[in-house]
Amino acid sequence: MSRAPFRFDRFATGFVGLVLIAGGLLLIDWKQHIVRSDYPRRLQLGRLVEWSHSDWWPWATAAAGVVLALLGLYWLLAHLRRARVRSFTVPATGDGKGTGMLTVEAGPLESVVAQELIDHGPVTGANAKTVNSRRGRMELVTAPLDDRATGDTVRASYERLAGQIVDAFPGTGLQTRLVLDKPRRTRGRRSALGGPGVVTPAPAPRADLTKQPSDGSPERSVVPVSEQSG
Amino acid sequence: MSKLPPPQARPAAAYTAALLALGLIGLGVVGVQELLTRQDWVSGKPWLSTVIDNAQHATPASWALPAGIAAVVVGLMLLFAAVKPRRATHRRVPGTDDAWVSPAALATIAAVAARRTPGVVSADARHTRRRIQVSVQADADRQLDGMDQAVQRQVESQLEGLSDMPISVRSRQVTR
Repeated sequence: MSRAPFRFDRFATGFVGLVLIAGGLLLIDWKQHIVRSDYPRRLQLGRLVEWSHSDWWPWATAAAGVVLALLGLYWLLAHLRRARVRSFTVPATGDGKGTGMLTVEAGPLESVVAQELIDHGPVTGANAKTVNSRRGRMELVTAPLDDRATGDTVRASYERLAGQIVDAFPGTGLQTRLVLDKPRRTRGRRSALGGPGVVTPAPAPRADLTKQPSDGSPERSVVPVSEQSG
Repeated sequence: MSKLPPPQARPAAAYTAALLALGLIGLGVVGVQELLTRQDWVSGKPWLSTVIDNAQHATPASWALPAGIAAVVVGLMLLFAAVKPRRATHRRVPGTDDAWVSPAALATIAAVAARRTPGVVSADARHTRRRIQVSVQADADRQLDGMDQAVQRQVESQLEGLSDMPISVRSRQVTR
């Protein structure tokens, strides 16, 4: 998920395409006289030649050049920009009045989400990112699929993961997208599938929303099942 | 069930835009080179004013027609890249809101499932955007018709609920 300027890319590409088509057709007609025949024999550049020999010309081209280079660099780097979220706020409900705000650091959440899927999903690894998308804030989970996965195991894992995230962060609009890719062959790496067609039973969501620390302040945490049961 | 858009590849325009951005940087270099050479801070002829000086005498010589055609062709390609829709890289897992699986993952699972069919010596699977094609090599003493159906059942059973892509199976016997 990126925030690359794809709309501007399309506009600029289309614009340059149209300019090239127009220029190319003009060049062809200048040579062939298909549409018009009153073109000048020699290219007329007007005062451009005179300007190009003036004292201010190199300074102007250098200034324009620096601006163009910076714009090109900015445009290029814009394609590397990520829509990653570092933290987000949760409407607090710990005191029952909905006052105050909790801030969730995305990094630890992403680790827990990825580990949760590795532990209980038909995958051989997982990576989670919290991103801003056009549809809102999203937990984007990508994972190589276990080659013994079935529709049931994938569906159960997705519903479990999405349910846990909704339960853990109600009111935030945090959505879950699971993207499964080609199985990765890694020696000694096992998924939650115990064998062909055998599925590790999926426990109920274990998002602990009620844990109260000793100082009485509200706290939310998603605890990996492996930690809770261990 | 809501219809969320699938994960998509970068648009073709993103790649042409990267080239255009590099072109802008190149133009910037040309502009700065003009100043550096005109002020004798570096040796050499200024590129931009040299081009302008030569262009003012230009006539529609033999280069004009191929150059014009090339410009039109490149322009059409850029126009096509600008409007080309982004390609969906994954397919929705049936029955889910926002779980997606790549056709390559489905093909690998199909191949693994096919290898588990009795009588199959080796199996491979490829995918197009619309279908999965499984190729198996069967024992020499097996009937290929029955083998096709057995592999088809095995693969469909494994992919049931994971994908609705059609599956085709092609078997051939191992030559000894």
